[in-house]
Amino acid sequence: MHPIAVLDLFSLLASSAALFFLLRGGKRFLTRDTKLLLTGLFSFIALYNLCLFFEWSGITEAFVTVEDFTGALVPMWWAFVFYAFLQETAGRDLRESEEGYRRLVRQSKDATFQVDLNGRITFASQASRAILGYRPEDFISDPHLLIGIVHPDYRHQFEEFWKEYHTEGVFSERLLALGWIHKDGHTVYTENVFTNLFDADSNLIGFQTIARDTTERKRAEEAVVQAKEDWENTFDAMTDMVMLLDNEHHIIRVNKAAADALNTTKESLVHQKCYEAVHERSKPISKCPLLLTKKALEPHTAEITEPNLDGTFMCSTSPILNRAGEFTGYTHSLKDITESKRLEAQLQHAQRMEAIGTLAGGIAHDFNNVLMGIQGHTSLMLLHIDSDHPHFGHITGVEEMVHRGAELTRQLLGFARGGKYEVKVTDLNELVEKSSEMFGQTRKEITVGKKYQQGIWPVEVDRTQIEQVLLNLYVNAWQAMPHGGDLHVKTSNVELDASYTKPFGVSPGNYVKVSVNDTGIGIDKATQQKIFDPFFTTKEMGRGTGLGLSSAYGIIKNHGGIINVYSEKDKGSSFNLYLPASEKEFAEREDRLADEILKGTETILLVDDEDVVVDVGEEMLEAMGYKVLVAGSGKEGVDVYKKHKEEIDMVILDMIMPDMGGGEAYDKMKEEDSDVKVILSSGYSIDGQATEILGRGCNGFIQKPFNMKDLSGKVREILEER
Amino acid sequence: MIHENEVVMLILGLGVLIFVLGKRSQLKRFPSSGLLILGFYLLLAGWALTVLESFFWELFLNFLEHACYTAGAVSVAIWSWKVFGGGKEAR
Repeated sequence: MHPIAVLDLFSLLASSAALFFLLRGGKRFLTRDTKLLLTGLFSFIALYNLCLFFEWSGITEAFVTVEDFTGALVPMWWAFVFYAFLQETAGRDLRESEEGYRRLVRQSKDATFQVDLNGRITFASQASRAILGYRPEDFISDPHLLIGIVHPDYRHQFEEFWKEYHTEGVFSERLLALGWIHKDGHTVYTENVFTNLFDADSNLIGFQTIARDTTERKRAEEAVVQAKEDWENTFDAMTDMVMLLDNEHHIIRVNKAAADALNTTKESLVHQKCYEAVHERSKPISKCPLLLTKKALEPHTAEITEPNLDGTFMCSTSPILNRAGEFTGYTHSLKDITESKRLEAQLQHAQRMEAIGTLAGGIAHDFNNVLMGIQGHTSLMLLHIDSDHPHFGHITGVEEMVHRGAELTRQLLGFARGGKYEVKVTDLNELVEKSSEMFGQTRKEITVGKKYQQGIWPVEVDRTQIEQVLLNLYVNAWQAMPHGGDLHVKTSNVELDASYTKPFGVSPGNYVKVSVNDTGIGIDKATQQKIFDPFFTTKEMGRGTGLGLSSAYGIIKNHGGIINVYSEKDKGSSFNLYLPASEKEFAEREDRLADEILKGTETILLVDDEDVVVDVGEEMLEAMGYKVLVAGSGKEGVDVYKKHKEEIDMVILDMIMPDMGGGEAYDKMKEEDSDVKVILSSGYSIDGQATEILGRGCNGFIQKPFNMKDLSGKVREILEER
Repeated sequence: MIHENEVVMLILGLGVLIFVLGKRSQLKRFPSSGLLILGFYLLLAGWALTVLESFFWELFLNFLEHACYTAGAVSVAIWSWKVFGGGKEAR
């Protein structure tokens, strides 16, 4: 066989194999047209090779025409095949692009809507359901749904866009933040990108919007805004002055309390240096804890007094560190402790007065018992001698000294708050008038002015004690006006609220105020701090006891009242007394002053643990004509009373006794006889104890030391009571 | 002796060659297109040789022409086998 025929045979076999593989194989990506073209090409190649083989093998030359025909077709067919390949590649690219787009839209969490020129939604992605709760087909079937679920707050801007779209057609791309009503009713927020939609020929066919769910972000933003607002409100609600400073002491932020205290606005304080704003200085004050805080990076506190702010402040500073732990500034707060410092000082003062009062009361009690012994003995001695007796003057001198000693202990007891002994509903106008009248008569160089409240409220007071207080104040005023002056006394009804009464530890309510004003030398601030302390005096040694005002203080406190002083150097002083008003009616004044020794024949039981008091008391009563039984203790007194109750007409009962006090003894005697008449006697009563026993029905009280006249008058007063 | 149809085939083939060269990058995206294009080049070479043999080295060029046809057919067959899975259904 001719070698070329062999080659042609191989060509025929190869092209036939190609055709075979093509026909058997079913490659999916090939289109039907491409397959047909390839089949044609391979068939023509095979046919061409077959014709060549026939020709060169010498079998026949009958197919030369066919050979020429197919030979011309093969190159053209190649062109068709290559063209089909190109078409198919382009088509596949398009399909892949479309599929990619569909996948993008399908998998995107952003919702895509396409709207045609008539406003009908032609496409809605699946994400629309996740964001708005409606299925894509809901939007397509209801053209008004999308507009209908725009949140009312956002409807206006959406409608504006809609109007522009309908009138203008093509619009500029834009981003709109919108709110929507979700299908289940809650509000969702989206950011929407609106773009024009064109067909392949660039004709406008509608618009597309891609909506991104920003609800979480929006809520987070709202939470941040709310947190900021809350923080600022809290910051401004703080009553302390708070500032945030940078590390150069510039104010970055400041609260309302600080701005108010500095009489300016928050804005004007920002960027100022704190010491310029607060202290009006060019550098920090020496006590400022900022410097320590900066040095140690630890909080520091210091108490500072700031004249610009008229007060005392607790200044606290703390370092502010950033995430890297670097110092960036301070917090600086000023807490106004002026009031608490004042209260603290007042408390310390009250505690000091209490302690001194207890001491003074104890001394007065023992001293009164001593004086009682001396008074009793002198009274008995005077009973048995005439005025021409050589010792009469000495004895009356001793009695005078006892009287002065008793005055001294009376002042001490007043300060020691030893109880209100004879509380009666009183007209303070009457009491003030009487005392001021008496004072005015003795101090002619002082002009006394009076102004009384009409319809003054009654008060329940121990008149003797209040008279003592008033006289102490008058004397104080007189001593402040050595060359004469004016003394003004004024009474008024006042109502005090809690803010006024709280520091003094008394209840708010109605009070009767007595003001004693003088035009004297005045009292400086330092002296005012100590003016009510016992034994504090500005007078030279021997001219004053230092007990007058302290006694007044104790008495007024014991009446549940307030005493205070306002004074300025060289401008006079003003003492104010506030006594709680009573609901009760005024009582008739029942003073009974014995001018002479009143006698009787009744039987009196005298109970006292002090032997000297028992001895002189027994003798004094016997000298008055009474039959006297004595007992040296409360318990013994009760026993004697039980034994002789039929004959005993009255009991004089010491209040403070070691085994059984006067109060308990009184109760036991009252159990025996509810009509028992008892005079309570004491050199001292602890904090209202006497008042309490008197309140339980005890008939009267007599203060040691007492003389024959005092005792006889009090005894007759009680015995003659019905 | 030169034949008319051989010249026509060559001219058509050169036209297709220009097309192929112009769209080479797109055609290369088709699977194993290199083999198919090689087959086309070999056939084109055969058509060129059959024209040339009329002018010199008739016998040698004629043999070479047929060898090109054979190589081209083999190249196309290999392409077909590779693309269509040697007669098995491609997956």
